[in-house]
Amino acid sequence: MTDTLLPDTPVGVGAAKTGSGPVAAAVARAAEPPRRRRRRLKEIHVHLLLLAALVVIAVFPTLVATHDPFELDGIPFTSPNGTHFFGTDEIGRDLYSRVVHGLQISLFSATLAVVVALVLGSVVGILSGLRPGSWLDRVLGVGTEAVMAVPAVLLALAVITTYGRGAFVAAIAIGLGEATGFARLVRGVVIQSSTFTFVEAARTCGAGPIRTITRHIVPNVFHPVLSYTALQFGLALLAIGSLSYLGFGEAPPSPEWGVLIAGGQKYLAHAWWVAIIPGLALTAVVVLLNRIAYLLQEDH
Amino acid sequence: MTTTTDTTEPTPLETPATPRSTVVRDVSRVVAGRLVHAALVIYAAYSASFFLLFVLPGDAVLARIGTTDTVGVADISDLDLDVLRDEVGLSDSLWTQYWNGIAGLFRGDLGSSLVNDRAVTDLLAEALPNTLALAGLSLLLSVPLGFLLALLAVNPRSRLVRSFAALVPSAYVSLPVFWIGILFIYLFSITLGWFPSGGSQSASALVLPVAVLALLGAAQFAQVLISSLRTELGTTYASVTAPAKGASRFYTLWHHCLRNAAFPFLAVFGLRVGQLLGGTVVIEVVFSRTGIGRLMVDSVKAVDLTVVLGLVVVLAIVYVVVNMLVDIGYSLLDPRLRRRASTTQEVTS
Amino acid sequence: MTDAILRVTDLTVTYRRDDQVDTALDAVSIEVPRGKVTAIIGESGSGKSTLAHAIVRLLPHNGGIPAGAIDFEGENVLERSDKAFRPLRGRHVGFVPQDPIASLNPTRTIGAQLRESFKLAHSPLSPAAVQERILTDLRDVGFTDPETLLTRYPHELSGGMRQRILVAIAFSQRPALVIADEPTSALDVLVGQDVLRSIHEARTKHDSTVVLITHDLALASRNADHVIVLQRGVVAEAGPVAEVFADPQHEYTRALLASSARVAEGRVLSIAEAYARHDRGTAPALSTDVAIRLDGVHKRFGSGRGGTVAMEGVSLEVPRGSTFALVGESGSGKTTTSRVILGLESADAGTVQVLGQDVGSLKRKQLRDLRRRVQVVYQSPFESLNPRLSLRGIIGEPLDAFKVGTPTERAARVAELLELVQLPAAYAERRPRELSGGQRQRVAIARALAIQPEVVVLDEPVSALDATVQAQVLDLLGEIQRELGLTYFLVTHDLAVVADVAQTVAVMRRGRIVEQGTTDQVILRAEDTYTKALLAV
Repeated sequence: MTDTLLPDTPVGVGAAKTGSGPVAAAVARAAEPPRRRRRRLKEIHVHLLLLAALVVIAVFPTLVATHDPFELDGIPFTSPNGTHFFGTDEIGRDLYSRVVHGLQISLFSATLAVVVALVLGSVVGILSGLRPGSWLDRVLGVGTEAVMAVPAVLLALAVITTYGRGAFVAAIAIGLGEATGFARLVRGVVIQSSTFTFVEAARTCGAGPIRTITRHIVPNVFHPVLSYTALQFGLALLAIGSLSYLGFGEAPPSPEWGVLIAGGQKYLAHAWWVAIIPGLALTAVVVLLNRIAYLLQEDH
Repeated sequence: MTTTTDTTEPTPLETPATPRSTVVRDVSRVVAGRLVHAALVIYAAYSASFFLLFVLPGDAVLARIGTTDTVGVADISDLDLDVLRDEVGLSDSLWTQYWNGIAGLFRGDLGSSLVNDRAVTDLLAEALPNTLALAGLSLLLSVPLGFLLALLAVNPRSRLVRSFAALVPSAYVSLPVFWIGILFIYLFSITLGWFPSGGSQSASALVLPVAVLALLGAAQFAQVLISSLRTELGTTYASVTAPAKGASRFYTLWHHCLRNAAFPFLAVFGLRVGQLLGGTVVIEVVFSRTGIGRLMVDSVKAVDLTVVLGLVVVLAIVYVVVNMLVDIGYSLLDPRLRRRASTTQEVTS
Repeated sequence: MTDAILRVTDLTVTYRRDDQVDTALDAVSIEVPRGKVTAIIGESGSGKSTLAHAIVRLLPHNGGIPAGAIDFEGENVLERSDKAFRPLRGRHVGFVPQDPIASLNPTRTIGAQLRESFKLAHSPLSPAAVQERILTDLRDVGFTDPETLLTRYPHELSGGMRQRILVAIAFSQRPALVIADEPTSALDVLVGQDVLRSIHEARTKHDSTVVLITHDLALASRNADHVIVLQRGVVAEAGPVAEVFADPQHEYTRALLASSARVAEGRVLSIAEAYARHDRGTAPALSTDVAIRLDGVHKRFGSGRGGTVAMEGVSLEVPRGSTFALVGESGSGKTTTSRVILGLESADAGTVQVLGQDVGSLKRKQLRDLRRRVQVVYQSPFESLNPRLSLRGIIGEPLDAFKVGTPTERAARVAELLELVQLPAAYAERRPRELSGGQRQRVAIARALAIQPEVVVLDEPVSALDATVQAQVLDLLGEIQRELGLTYFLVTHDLAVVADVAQTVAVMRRGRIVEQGTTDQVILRAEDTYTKALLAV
């Protein structure tokens, strides 16, 4: 804690930013929420709306599905057309309806993974961030690094070896791997927030620990954590897809996207759409989530 | 702590230059500290994987009996199982197995496969060269490619070019890696017929999988580099001091920023290596190559616990060693950390 | 017409922000006479830094010059392309940046960064000659042993040393014009003096013209021959320093001069002179009742080689109802002392008594009770207010935390406090970012007063503010003290502030109190050499 002195801080080249006195009025004007901020908020809202639509489709896939995902409704390997938007697969099931129904499994497994990661990571992160450098912090640090040392897919495979395959197990396994990232982020955020002067000011004002955390720390670190969550959500989708593709998630008749891609790979030469289109769907959802993560970060 | 001032009152100039012997001692302290840390992490990774795999109900003996492909429960009488458990040492108490495993680890012995009795180290030795060729080659290509992308995203005058170059890496990391593999097979193998769609014999079979992974690595590296280059370009020394000496934008970028941005890049390089290894596992399956990935998938399907454990431990060791080297290099190369490195050994990410 | 090396005519500079365009400089015309020092003064937001950067064409990417001319040595350099302009930098125009900490590349040696200027200027000198000249230049800016300096990295040097290296870099190619942008504002006063001295030495030796950007009137008055006063992007007044300061024509110049107690009748007063002129009326006798007592307090951070001693046997007494000022430069341990008093740091040895209680021995709950009676105002109002709360939430924080009264009573109290610190009641719903620095500091003061404390710790309460605003905030603090009978523990680096407000003073250096007594004693009859040096500034 060295003393600092901050004489006038002439605002470099940025003109009126921190000024006062004669410039006070100008500063007050400049500090109004600028148009770009509003535009960005609008953009976030549009993206969140899209995400909400996806969630609705995931819960009620029949709303938009045109066929039964398991019925043999058409001629095998029909290329995309008016009735079968994404064509049909090797036994004549409607690929579009299968992709729509697959969203449910992907989205819900990813949610489960992220919830596991967020809860586990936050607990570890808070415990180690409260007293950085303590023995608890060191032990948790080594533990976190040990989990990070194993590539996520391998870690998930190890979990699956013992618990058996399935989307549920795969999701928890992925969440376990992603928890390390959350733990590091939360630890950093906790350490950083204790250096905010206004947090200390709250303490000297008599605010207790709970009040300090809920009123001063959480609202100010909410955005980075939320942004990271969106990012990890996308990664969880990709990881779950990978596991299904390898044959350790859902089992074949299921319309999970990784399963669809793996199934379609065999017929790539004469029916590209069976493998490629589910991958496009997966990509689209991940891009949406990454975009939300980016916007949230910028907003902060 | 907004404006730092003359905080270092007794300026270091007053103290005599550090003698060489203490520098050497500092270096060895840093290295020793990192070694201990690395050993701890490997130990923790081994223990966690061991208990994860062996405490819980999945029974490798079932696999031994012949149900190699199902990971479910089979109806087999207890008597047969006990005999078999004895045979493979699974009936020993958990702690005995654990300590035997640790002792084996020190001897370089990872036990033998529960399925076919072959030594895990032999299986690894067979699978590793293929994987190393794939991972190493893609890593080698991804670093310069990542730097190139990052430079394109910060240097050109045109804002359009810059934003496009910045968009490419973030878009690429949104793609499922196994799907890109399939897409590449469809485009370059099936449609254009330039490269084989898989296999591990010919060198040309390496092209597509290396391309997928090298691009992934490059995209990840570029993301980190872009953000650190932007930070560096915004600092006063790059935005005021150097131009005031008459430096052009590219000179500043090349001689000042790139070097300094490479430090945060180094710090994440180790972390990315782990992800690249994970990607390699999947890509090997996509392109039907033999290697660690194939071995892993087969062993998981066969519930071959010792092989799975061996693989996890070996990859963890690779990760930890790479990160240790990166950390040591980092703390020795960056002059800002050189002095601090001797007092605090906690330099992670 | 005088011989002007630089003539700026009707220069307009704008910044693009989102969809709107802010005008930072509006048709500014200035002349910089050759061979002299010209000071450009103004408060934050006046556009003085923008002007400096526009001249060397180092505006940030969103800055633009829609109109005007910049004639350097008779040529309008605005007509040059960026590429054609570049050779002017370094060789003909040198630049000393504001922040010495961030202005050197942290991963290259000092020697490499000095040599770089010669390389970029395509200097015809041989490497040996370059080396020789660098060593001479470094001696000129006050380094006695330049050889050892060349292999060092910036982080191994103090801020003052770094700034002197930046001065050496700016003068290295013997430019005709050197622009120094607030070269001392991030430094302690005594260190800043060394830097200014080095600029003067280099300027005289190499016969250069210097433009000095500053917010400090005393500094301008001492160091410049000519002065240009900028106000909100417009030139308010310009002319020889002596004339402008002795007989200001513009209202804004007069306001600036009035806020600086140090400049009067066109010259700089010493702190003692300014103190003597200051009308304090008849000072009431100091109370014998002690609010804060420190006895032999030690505090050390870290251990071993990396540790630093922040407080070494600090003893002091603060009489109730008065203002006590703790003066020191950065690193002196003054902020640590204030944190020990607040119970935010614990002392390693010695006793800390606040309002009769031993802070070191208090339990968590007792400490919280003590905080009802001891509050704090932080240095930076930009960091001490939670940006996500409204002023009602911020000022009401202590009321809510200690559950004082009913919600309606608390709301009424917030309104009362806003009035006390002279802010409109309607501001209760605003957020900190909608306020200026001075207004934010008023909010911080209101928060500190909310639960009617007896002692307020003021940690550099005005150092982040412009001079005119500083005066207003200090006046406000004085009024409140008289009204409520508060005890102030004021931490500051500025002896001039002390002269205005404190009854007792202690001067701290490197963790020790070197001088202590009534303001009269310390300012008029200082005994310690360090105190004398501070007073001589």
